[in-house]
Amino acid sequence: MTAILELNQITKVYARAAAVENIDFTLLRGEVHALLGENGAGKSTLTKMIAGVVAPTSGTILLEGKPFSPKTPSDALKAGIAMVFQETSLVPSMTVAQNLFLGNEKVFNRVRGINIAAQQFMQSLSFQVDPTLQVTALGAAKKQMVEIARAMLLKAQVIVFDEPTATLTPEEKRHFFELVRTLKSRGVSVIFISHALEEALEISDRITVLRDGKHVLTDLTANFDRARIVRAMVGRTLSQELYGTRKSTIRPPGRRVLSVSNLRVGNTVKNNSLSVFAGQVTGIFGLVGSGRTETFKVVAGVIKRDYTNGGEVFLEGKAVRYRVPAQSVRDGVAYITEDRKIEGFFETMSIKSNVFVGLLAKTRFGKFWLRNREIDTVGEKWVNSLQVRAVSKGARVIELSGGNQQKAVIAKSLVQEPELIIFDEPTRGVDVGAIAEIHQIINRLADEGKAVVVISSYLPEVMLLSDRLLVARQGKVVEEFSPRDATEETLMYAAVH
Amino acid sequence: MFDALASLFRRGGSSLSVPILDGALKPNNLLEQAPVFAENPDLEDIALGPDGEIYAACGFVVARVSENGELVPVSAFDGAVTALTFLSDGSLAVALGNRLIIDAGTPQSRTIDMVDGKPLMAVNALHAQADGSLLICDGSQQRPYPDWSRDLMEKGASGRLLRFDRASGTTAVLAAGLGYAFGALVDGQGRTLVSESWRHQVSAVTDRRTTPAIAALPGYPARMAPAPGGGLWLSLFACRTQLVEFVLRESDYRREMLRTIDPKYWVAPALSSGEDFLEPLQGGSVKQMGILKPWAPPRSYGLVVLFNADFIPVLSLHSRTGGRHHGVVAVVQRNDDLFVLSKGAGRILRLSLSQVAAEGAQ
Repeated sequence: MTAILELNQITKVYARAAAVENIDFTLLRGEVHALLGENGAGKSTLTKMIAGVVAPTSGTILLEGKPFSPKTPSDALKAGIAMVFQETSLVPSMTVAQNLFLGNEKVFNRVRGINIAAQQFMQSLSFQVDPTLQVTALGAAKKQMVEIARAMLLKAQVIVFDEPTATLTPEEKRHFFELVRTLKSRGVSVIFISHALEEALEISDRITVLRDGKHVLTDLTANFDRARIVRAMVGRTLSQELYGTRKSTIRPPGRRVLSVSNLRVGNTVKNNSLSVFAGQVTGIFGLVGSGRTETFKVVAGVIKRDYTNGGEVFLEGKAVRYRVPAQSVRDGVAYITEDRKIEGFFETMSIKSNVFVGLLAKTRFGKFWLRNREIDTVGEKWVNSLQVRAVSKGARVIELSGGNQQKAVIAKSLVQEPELIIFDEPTRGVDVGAIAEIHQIINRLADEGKAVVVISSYLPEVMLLSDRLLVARQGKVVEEFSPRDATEETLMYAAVH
Repeated sequence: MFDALASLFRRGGSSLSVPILDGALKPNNLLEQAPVFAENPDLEDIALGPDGEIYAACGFVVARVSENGELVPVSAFDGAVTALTFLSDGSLAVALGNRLIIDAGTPQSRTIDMVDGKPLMAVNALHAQADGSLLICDGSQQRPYPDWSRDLMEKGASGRLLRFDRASGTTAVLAAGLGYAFGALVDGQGRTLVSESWRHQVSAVTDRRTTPAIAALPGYPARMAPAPGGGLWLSLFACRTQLVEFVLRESDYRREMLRTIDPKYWVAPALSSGEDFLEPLQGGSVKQMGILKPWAPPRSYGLVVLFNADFIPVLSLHSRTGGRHHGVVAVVQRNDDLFVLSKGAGRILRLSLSQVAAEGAQ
């Protein structure tokens, strides 16, 4: 196979810190090339340079043997390079069809015409998405489908997928893999960024590992196993300890902190009942649509349960019905969202300001006079405590890597000194090294006697962390397991049958 | 009509919810599969005798339960025995519904039928203290003991916890206005506890005032027994269901039901079920292929819970919907053996706690 894209000694420097340094990278025609590394390793920066989102500080890019230096993403698109971003880049207020054809509109457009074209195109990909729906009404998985469809529509020769499967269900993932194989058979080259190592091992032809902005190794996928990838990614031997080990000690339950009885929320939560105990990690496993997130959003006051026959929520034995999240925060509930970029932080504010905002949420009337010293002190304490790593002290949260962003979101909640902490997909889009650190935080909280809930779609994670395992299906908890008895098969069986 | 409107303004809107059996209360079949130690349809209460034997109240007699499960009568009375215990000096105290007999079966026996100017009505549990005194549960001031279901349907709250002082020979009221007192205990930390069945809680009693010690139980608590380490065993004679909770909110319906329906077909908790097709069911009780599913809403249930000294549940034993060992009203631990009285089945069950632990029950 010949090379379609070559990067030679590519470097990108932000604020005197090199995000990517002297990287050589080759993409062959018709190959699926997995790009792996911890968050902050430089994967996104590298691919953004390929897609014309940012310009390299030094080094050269060759596309089909010719020098290539895209100034904008549309330059890259014209040259046949499309990027499907980690976070959706769709316009929420526009319809699916309008998003698909955005930037490629004709002088005169008929709504009906683009709807039909979009419908036909989506059907050709076997994507069940109504093109007339507004993107804001779509779930994460469907948004991802639209993103992928848009890249396909542009007839790109190189498609970069940045964490494409993070929000997809197992079934949708299989479908996505089929799609990638189809692309490959048509001679399209794919760069695939993922934190799910099994996916990289399953779908890619070659794997490149980056660490701290530097190239570590590139080899055929057949020559890799999980341990080798992890070793290369983190530069230390984590082997399989991160996942795959059975929990050896189970914390005994403390007092009942949360009790949800016969909860109903529209069609998503149906007569759901569960308890959460102090000093334990309660793991909630379920597939997309099982009502896990909605249940705990009701607990945190983010959404409301049905008024008639909506069930009851008891916190420390007291019946509660929160109108707004601030009330639950004051009662010691922290909900750490699965969608950190939208709901988790203020992206243009610094880490310490974000942390301090968390503290302000706890007070009933806020603070009339803010002292910078207090903001600094509180912020630094939590940055140090959770080891949030940033280029500079005043760095904005948006500039952090995914793992550090997540730690900042956790710090923002923990500063409120909650008694019940709900982690919704705590390690989604987070690199392997940060996963271990976030797991340590979760375990530390449970050891301190807090009631901890971990909602996760990733079985090894939920099995490793939980002292109790609850499986949700179709809007309610259907089974409880002890980690001693649970296997991936039994949990998945409970989740789908 | 008024009930329907009022329900919208209650806490939680019109929601009807019951606590879930999860965590340490996760259902199992340990009680259902427990070996039967003794059997008699009239069994009412059990107690550990001073000789280390198990004694049972069975109809009009108190009987010793031999190791082979035979009931050997030791005392007979002129009424059905509703509770028994042995005082610290080894003497027997029994309740006959509206009477209490101290030093029963001896020439010195004395009868108490009135306390604080009010007659005893439904004495259903006795607990002897180390100082020779006796805690007495008078379940209701309105209805006799066999009529407990009517007391629930009338939302009775007239139970009393009494204390008989051996030294002075007087009986005092420790707490009144209880939502059916059905079990008393002074735990390892000296706290006086009483089961309030209709309030689904175990209350701590101090200076004639009660505060919830174990609240929001998923069933109706009954008699208690001390457990090693300062904890306690609690028997629950039935589980709560949304249907019964609903009926308890619907005053008109309830009044009509009490007036016109045979009590055994009331929408109310029961000590046993499945014997008559006229019994009320909730949600059809989820019967598939002729088998009543164990997760169906239970009309009767068997449940024993072990609480530690901090009142946190650590172990539970269940006989689930469709099972036999329902209506558990008493439990006694003797070394490694746990004796459980299933009144619904008319059986005393004997479980080995080390075996239970080995089976890894939560």
